[in-house]
This record gives sequence, structure tokens and C-alpha cells, in this order.
Amino acid sequence: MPKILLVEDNEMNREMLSRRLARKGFDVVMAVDGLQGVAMASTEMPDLVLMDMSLPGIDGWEATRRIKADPATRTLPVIALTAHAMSDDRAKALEAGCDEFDTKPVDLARLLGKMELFLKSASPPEVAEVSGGPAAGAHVARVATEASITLPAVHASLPGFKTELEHFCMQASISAGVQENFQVVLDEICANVFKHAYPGEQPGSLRLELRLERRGNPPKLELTFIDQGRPFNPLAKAAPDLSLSWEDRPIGGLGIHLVQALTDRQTYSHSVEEGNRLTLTKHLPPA
Amino acid sequence: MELATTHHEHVTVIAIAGSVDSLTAEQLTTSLVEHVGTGRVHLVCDFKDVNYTSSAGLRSLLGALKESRRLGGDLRMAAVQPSVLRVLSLSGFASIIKIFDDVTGAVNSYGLGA
Repeated sequence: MPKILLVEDNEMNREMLSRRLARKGFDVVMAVDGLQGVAMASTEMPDLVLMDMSLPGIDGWEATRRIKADPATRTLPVIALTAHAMSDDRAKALEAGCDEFDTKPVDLARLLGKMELFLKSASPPEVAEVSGGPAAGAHVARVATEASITLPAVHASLPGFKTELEHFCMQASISAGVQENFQVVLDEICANVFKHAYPGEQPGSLRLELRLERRGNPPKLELTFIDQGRPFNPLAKAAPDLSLSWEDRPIGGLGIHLVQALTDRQTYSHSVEEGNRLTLTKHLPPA
Repeated sequence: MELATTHHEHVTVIAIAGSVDSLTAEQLTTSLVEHVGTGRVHLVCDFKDVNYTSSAGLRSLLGALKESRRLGGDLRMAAVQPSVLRVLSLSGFASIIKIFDDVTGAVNSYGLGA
């Protein structure tokens, strides 16, 4: 799955383009300014960088110069995105070290065509074939079985994750009931679980990976959350005693209980390289 | 999420519309605390237009339920949709909070001439 680093300060543009790219099967990571873009080019090692040029702090021209000046990142292809349609912008982009140039608003088909030139060596998004209805005979629908999205803050990520989950479930023909379960799970993880991994009020980026395994028996859907907060183990916390009377019932502690009740398997790990990794597995009814 | 409050003689009905999740639950908590704090302790939450609730919403309801019962009142729910009812059951709420088919039934259940 090719990884794309999108450097864009405008939230609406960032969310819209990242979702469109994620739906095309790309693994999208995002930076909101030039300095973060330069840093993530080194830490994330994407296959390609999409660089907005009008950025706070150091602009896209300077960020590109720094990426191209670093031996570790100089081979990363950078496509400049700019709202300016000035005739010398292309020359200016190439002078800064950009490998390509495109204008905003983004024409996705055109941009994908330019990206493809630099991603030929990267593996294409994984797809699987799913049989259609019996009457359809040879009708085959191709659906993505993996998706990944990284959003900038745990709590603020919730709407974006929900949209991505809905799209994934629709593409993969996952039932509304399973989708509802995972909507609750997403909310609990974003709101009640991962936020405890951050000291104070410092949010971090949170990556959601969705994986559908149809060949297993039973088939299963996996959601994996990855973040870089301090180590913690949400699964170590005991679920509240639900048989208690209302007077004795604690007000908190329900989040992880709901997650455990709505999924079939939960695993947690932490490593210096990856940070926290929480994987939730839900078995699906046979197709 | 949107809230609309109707004051009956002895009962306060809070009609909730939308999702009661981690992004919106605080607004519900603020409203419920305000009602209980001003002595309106006989509450009905109309869930007819609530399509989703998470543990954040349940915490909000449980906090208000505890406080209203401590003051001699109660918090009751009405017109709960199946998907929300499932979360209530999973979390053990269905056994500690009174749920009615509609608002009229919930209001009349207080028997206060509301």
C-alpha cells in the first residue's frame, strides 16, 4: 500500500483530499505545516509527498528544499500543489526541487496520473474478489480489503474515522449491525481509551487500520489503532460490575467494557518503534 | 445533537435529537445538571430522535439519574430506538433506568398530575 505524505494547512482541503486518496487505497499520513512536513518526510518515509506551497512557518518551497537537502529524504518524489496558476510556478516548483507540479482545486484523476509516474515501483492497493448474487452468474465486484488513515488528534479524529469506516463497510458489504458495533467501538476508543495515553491535554496523531479477512473461517474484520502516546494497557482495566445497583454503580469505566462486549478478540502491545497498538477483531457471519 | 425542553407541571421533558457521543455528551450533561440543580428532578429524556449513544452519553444519564433520585426524583427514558436500547442493555442500564414506549407514558408514570 503506497504511503503518501500530505502536507496541507487547510483542514478542509486536508481532510477531503486524504479521504479521497484513502478510498483509492493509499495509506495517507498528514502534516499541517512545513516544519512538520519535513520531519514526517524523515520519520514516516512515505513513497511520495504532496506539498501545499502556502504553509504557515516555512512555506512549501522551503520545506521541499529541506527535504531535498537531506540525504535520507532527497529521493522522495515531491509533487507541489498550489492555488496559484502563475506561469512561473512550475519553474519555481522545479527549482525548489519538486518533481512535479499540480494546481488546486485538485482534479483527482489528473493528480493520480502524475502520482502514478512516481509510484510504479510501489505495490498497488490490495484487492480481493467477492462473488455477486447467484443470479448474477459471473458478476464480480472488486472491493478493497485494507484501508488505513492517520488523523492528527485522537478526539478530533472521530468524525473522520467514522466516515472512513462507513465507506469501508459499504465497499466490503459488511452488515449494518456490525457497522453499528464498530461505530460504538470507534467512539469508545477515541474518547475513552486512547486519550488516557496522553499526558495533560497533548493530543497526538492516531492511525486506524481496517483489514477484512474473508478467507478465514469465520471471516473477520480487524480494526487496529496505533498511536505514539505513553505506554498503557487499556485491556488491563477490569470491566465494571454491571450487576451493581444504581446507587453503587460507578459512573465511569463503561468504555472498555463496551469495546470488549462488541468485539470477539482484543490484543494490545507497545513498542518503541510503533507506540501503542490495539487490535480489535470481530468475527463476521459467513458470506 | 439538539436539545428541546418542555416543562410540564411537575415533569421536565428533554427531547434529544442526533447522536449522544463523546463529542456531544457534555452538552447533555450541562442541561441535565441545570435542571436538577434548579429543583426539576422529575425528568424524562425523549430518545425518539436519538440514533446513537456511547458510554459518554450513558455517563451523562447515570450522573443525572443518581442526583435526581438522591433528591427524591428520577430520570426516565422514552421512545428508545433498538440500536440505542442494545447499548443500554450491554452496559446494564436497562435494568437500572425506567424505559417507556413513549413520552406520554413516561410523564404519566410519575403520577404527579403532570
